[in-house]
Amino acid sequence: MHHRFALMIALSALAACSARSADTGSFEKSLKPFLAKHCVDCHGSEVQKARLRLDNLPPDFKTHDVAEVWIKAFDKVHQGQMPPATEERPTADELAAATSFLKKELHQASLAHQRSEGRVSVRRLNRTEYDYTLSDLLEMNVEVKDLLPDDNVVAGFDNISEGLDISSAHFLRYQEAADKALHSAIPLRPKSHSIVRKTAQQLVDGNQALKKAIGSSVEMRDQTLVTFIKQQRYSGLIFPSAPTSGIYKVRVSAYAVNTNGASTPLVFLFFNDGVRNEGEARAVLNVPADKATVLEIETYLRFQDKLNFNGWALPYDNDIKSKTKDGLKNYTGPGLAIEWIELEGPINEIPGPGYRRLFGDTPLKARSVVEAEKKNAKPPTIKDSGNEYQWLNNPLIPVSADPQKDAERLIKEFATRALRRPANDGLISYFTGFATDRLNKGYLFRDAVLTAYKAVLCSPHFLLFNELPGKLDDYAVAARLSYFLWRSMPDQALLDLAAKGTLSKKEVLLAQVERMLADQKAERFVDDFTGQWLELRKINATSPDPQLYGEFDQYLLWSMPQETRLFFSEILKNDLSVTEFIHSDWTFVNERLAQHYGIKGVAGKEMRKVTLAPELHRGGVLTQGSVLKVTADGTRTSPILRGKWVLEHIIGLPPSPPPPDIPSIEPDIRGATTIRQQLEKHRDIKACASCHMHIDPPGFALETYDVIGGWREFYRVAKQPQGGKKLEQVALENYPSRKTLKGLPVEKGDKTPDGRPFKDIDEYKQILLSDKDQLARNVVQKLMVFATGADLQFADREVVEEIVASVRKNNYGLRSILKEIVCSRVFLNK
Amino acid sequence: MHFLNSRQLSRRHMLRAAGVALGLPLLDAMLPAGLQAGEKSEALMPRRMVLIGRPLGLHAPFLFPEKAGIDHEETRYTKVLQPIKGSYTVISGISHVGYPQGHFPEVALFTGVSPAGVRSERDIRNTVSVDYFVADRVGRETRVPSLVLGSSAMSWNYKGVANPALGSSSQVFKQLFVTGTPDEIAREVRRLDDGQSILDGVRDQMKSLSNKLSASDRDRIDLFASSIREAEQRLQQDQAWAQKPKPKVDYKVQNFEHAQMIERERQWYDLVRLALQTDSTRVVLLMHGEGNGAKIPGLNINHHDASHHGQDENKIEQLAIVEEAELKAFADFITDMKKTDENGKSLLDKSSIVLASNLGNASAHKTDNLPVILAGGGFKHQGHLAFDRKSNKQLSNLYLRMIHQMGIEAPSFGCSNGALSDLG
Repeated sequence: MHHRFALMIALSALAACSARSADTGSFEKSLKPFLAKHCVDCHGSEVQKARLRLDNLPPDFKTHDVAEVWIKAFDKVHQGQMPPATEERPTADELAAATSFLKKELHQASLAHQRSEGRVSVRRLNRTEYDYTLSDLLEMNVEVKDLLPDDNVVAGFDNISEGLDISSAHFLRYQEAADKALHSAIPLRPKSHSIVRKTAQQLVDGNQALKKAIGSSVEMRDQTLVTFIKQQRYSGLIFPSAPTSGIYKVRVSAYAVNTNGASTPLVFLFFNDGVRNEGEARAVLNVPADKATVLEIETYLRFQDKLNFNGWALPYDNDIKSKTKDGLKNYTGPGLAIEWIELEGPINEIPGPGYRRLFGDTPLKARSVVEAEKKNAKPPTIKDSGNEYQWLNNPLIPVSADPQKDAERLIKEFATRALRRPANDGLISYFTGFATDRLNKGYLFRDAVLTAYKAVLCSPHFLLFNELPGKLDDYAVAARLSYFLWRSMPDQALLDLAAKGTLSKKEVLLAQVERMLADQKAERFVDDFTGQWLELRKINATSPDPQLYGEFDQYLLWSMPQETRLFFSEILKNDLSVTEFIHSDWTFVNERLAQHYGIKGVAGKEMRKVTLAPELHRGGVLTQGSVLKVTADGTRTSPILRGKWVLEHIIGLPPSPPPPDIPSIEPDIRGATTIRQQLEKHRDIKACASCHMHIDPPGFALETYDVIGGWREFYRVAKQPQGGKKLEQVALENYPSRKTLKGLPVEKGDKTPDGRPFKDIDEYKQILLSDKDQLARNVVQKLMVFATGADLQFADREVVEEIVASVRKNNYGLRSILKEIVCSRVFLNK
Repeated sequence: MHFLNSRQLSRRHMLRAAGVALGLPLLDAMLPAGLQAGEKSEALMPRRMVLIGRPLGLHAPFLFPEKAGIDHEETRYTKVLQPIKGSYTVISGISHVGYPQGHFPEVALFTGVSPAGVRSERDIRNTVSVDYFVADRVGRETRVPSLVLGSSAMSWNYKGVANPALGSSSQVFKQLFVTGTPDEIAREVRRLDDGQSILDGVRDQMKSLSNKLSASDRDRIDLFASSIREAEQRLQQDQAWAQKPKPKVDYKVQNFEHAQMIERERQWYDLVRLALQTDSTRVVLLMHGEGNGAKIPGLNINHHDASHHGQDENKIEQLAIVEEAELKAFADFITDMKKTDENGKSLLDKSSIVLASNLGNASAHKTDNLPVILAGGGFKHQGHLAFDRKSNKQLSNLYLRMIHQMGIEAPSFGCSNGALSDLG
């Protein structure tokens, strides 16, 4: 921690020279006596508790590092944490004088800085924004995100200016990504179309594993294949591979058996080698019972991609082994019957919209034709052999009759759209000149134009949000708004309003917010914001221990984040109160989540809104499987991690990081000591207690939920302990066919730092709901940071408080908060 | 040890002065005066560095011996390393001192940024990693300055921006060992030329843009200029190498599926050795992934789960299955490096190789007492180099020592407070 000492020394040195930067008279009168009386005994020349020294901290509120220390001091005093309860309390007058002086100075300094420099420094697109922008620009899924370096996270989000530096790797990878995206817009070959069907018999004949499984987990009934288990990745439930890149119709004729008339989910999975084992679920459909039905999805496949499919609710092989010892004759478990599968396509138009965006009506010709024409030879007749390699060696190429003129026109159009505002002529002619130079060097028309496009996509005017201090102009507002709600470039309607100069008018702005939220692209906002605020991005970061949590499966994993996203969308759509994030008597579930939560009468894979009975102990995000999973590891829950998570993400008052060299807790799942005993030992240490009295309670409130968000009354144990009393084996309430060993009863309940006891999550939620302002403040802050791409600054506090006060009147509606933010000074200024 | 002195010319200096950045042999004049022929030829041999990272630690009771020194008692894991005895040192009592607990300080495993840079997982401010630091100084002489391989971004530049990792071994193989057709080469050359022109344009646009912006934005934009320059240098390097035939190696890359964890790691090791042997690069960072779903005989739970064993004996046993298999692959890599001959010397002697993890105890998410194994590099290997487990040695001190071993003079690195002096 020597670096902090270094800072303190540096600050002391500053003290001498910067005393003029604040109203020292007032400092002398209002703050200095307070510091001397209440602070410097512990934060002075002799002792520096928490490595903080205040006696020589200069009254300089402009220098960032100094102001940060003052802000910390202000917060501690303002929140009543300092001076500590054991010391003499300052009088109300002393307190008011000190805090109001500090507040005024810090606010003014912060505001002045925002006015002269802007609160958001120049920032680049992050890789999510880059990918979406290129996708919108080319009207196709470009899939280039993974080519770009990871973005750093600051203040909890990955779109914050401070974290978005540009390294050489970026400059190189931008070229690569642009290359890839641009090239993928040009079709390799003319339109082709095929239908490939495989019967069940052909599937079995073509796969040894499937053939071998007949009689044990698979059976053939006439011409129909029935699988009673989830098949392995290579066990033959695989569609024919895509003959070329494009959008395909993928069909299965199937029905469910032994399900008492209920449907069973069928998943279309895409395995991307080397990434994850589970595959990406492209779609899930309900397979009706007993009557063959054709199920169809449309999906994009690259050349040679193959989709798998599987019965997602079927048991694993191991689960039914004991019941199928004598074969399947007497087995009555559920199964998925398949008559045939089919791949049809590609069905997309060729060339697609991406091509037209880049090359307009420029005709496409095979390379061999172009070369022949160049030599004035007779162009070859090309017969499509259906073999992709034919076209890899002889791809289609855009050919212009007037390359120079076409290039200029196309590049001007492209650059104007890409740069989010009218570009000046100099810039445009730089880009067109780029193509001209290359045409002169003998480049193909295609290559000359694409290289110019690449230059546009590497231009700082494309990659950076470069605004001037003060009020944003309408084009900058359009960009800020669209990157907030669509995570991408503004559309023509926004640009038109910017051109007219009316976008910043409040009623226009609000109408645009409504329009944009109604657009499908707003799902990106929900996805990205909840992905970071509630950390849904981490949903698959750990895998539950299969010995302890055998009921966990990919269907449940797939369903979890959907619940939370739909929940957020519902609150946003209907302007419901942000207190619903703490508690609601409704949520979204499908059959899988309903089973997990113990809700009866929900069939099918579709998420739908349901009412929650109180005895389920569900409602709000804290009791959703997704949040409970991301706050635990795969084996156990930790009240510390969950408690810290609640403070940071939901209450918005994160604890300080632990001091170095403190004893840590060595987890012990053998059941000798309870988590509460371990944590109490911890809380006995004074240095730990001051933070853990805040951290542990919310953690204990959530202790009745296991690592996959199931309700529990006791801890599960995987194996009988050696010696001692044998543990009882009990069935899981929502999964009666599964059993576990019953360990210690779960630790529930605790008391808040101010002494309010609660016995479970339901009571704890009521405690949280007693400070609705703080819950709203947290949401406002998180949204504001995300919307503007900069962490909160002192001057922003005023705006946050105004918004909280304003939405208090309509019960803290989320949509109202979002609109208030968009209309605020913070959003509309650089 | 550090053989740069005032009478010798820096190789980089020479290369720059000649206007040619690459591919020149070392000249005698660049060597210290007074070396004997044998010493000369040895000094002419390039030095290499390999950093191998792994998540989830290595079970400490199975790794660290009690006794320090070369005749320490064998532990379960040092037994696996028996074939390379004398070529490695297990270091205990070393870590990035003051790092918080959890998985996220992983990003700083090879940077040693001050603890303030990794205070919270939602607020990372990293700094340069060893590989980048070294490649910045020696990387201009090979086809690629460095290789960043494996599962996640562990390499960082001076600005704390992650350098992307190459996750596909066939892609790496192609880049280093597969010479393109004349057509492909011509296209590549053109791509690089265009890339340079684009960067020229970016620089000009940045300049004119920065004139219009606020003072602090201007400062920020000006900082981007150094990144543009670096990118240009990299393109120049690629241009210089684009038309040179690539070394031919007798090796077949395979595409392993996710579950084939050990096979995949072994293939990475093979590629690292080939890259060093052919002097395609001198700096490699390889990050292994978690072996969740790995198929290893006897293993039936996930690696991550096993590492968070909570003292459950069965889980610890499962963890050992993964770790022994990985250490065996590591030992075989070191053996192969040893066997690889370079002008009568073993490639291992010129390659400082470190295997380290960001967790000392994954079950408690502790980041002190990290498992660190140093191999090769011409160090005086100690068997077990034991530091205080209560008051750890800075891991950055080892990195600084390894940097010096590369012939690079550097006063400090990361949080170093001196170079590790116990390794000769």
